[in-house]
Amino acid sequence: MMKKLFLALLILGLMAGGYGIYLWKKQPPTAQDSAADFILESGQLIRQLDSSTSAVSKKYMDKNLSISGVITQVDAGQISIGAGENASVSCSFDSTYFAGIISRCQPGRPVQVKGIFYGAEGFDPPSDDDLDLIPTEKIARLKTCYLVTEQP
Amino acid sequence: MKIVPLSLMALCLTLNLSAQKFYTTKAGQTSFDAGTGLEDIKAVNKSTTSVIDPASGQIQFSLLIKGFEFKSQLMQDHFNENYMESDKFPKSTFKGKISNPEKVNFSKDGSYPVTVTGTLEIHGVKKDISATGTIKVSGESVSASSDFEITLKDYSINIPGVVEDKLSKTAKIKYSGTYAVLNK
Repeated sequence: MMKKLFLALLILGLMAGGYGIYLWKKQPPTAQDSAADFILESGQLIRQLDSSTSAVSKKYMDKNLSISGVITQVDAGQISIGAGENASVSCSFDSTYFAGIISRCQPGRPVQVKGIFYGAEGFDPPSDDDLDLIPTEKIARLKTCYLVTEQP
Repeated sequence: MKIVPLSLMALCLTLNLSAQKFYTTKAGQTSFDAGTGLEDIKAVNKSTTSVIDPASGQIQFSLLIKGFEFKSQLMQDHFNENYMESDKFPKSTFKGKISNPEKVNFSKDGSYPVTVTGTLEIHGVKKDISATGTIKVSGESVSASSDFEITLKDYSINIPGVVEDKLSKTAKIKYSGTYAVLNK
């Protein structure tokens, strides 16, 4: 009886330990891992942020968004998709992945990108937190992005 | 007849002179390392916004805390929920000035060592800091980099006893960014 109990406890302990290691080693999800939770145009997202940043945060935070629009800027590991005057959706990529797609990411090209939404800047009334040297651009931020489609 | 073109030239010159030049990026990379020999605790934020005003030597940075990417989901969750409280304090900023702006010639290619002093805000706590870095000028392109260290306790980031030996009391921070010209 004691032997069976010890064996059961050992199995339970091993399972708990294994689950702990699995959780510790589990990598954060990237946009490529799953289907988009929401499909939007870049301008739609910016308009929603203009209406209420808190409502957008509640709805989209940490969600996988599919955003379509036209590339306006290409930086190191990042593209900006235009969304009206002084507004953009900024998408950052894994550097190795970005090296493979950079030739397809040229300003002026329409694209569809998936990315995890993690916040926005330049929407709320100016505060001490804002950079004040120049007017802050309205930016919605996506990370671990993945290029879905692009047109030549 | 010559008055009109001359006036136009004068107007253009005036406008050109009054246009202020800034260097900006929204894709600066900020990484930190707060690990010990027991644990690797590193993350990178690839979307740091920064502005340099070459005329005054002012320099500013801003990033969203949730933009830090970890290798472990659990570590990323703990960082956002327990240590940085990123829903409550979503942003970190630095606003300061190059202490030796006269040493940087933004019109001449070169690598210029700088010291920057200013206020760093993390986790809702503002603290004056000073850091060394380098500004590199190459044609119209300017890049900046800096390595410095902060003490977590200074920013009310408390380390629970259970992970005290895994998490360093200080974080080594690295920044690098390539800037483009913006005429305002």
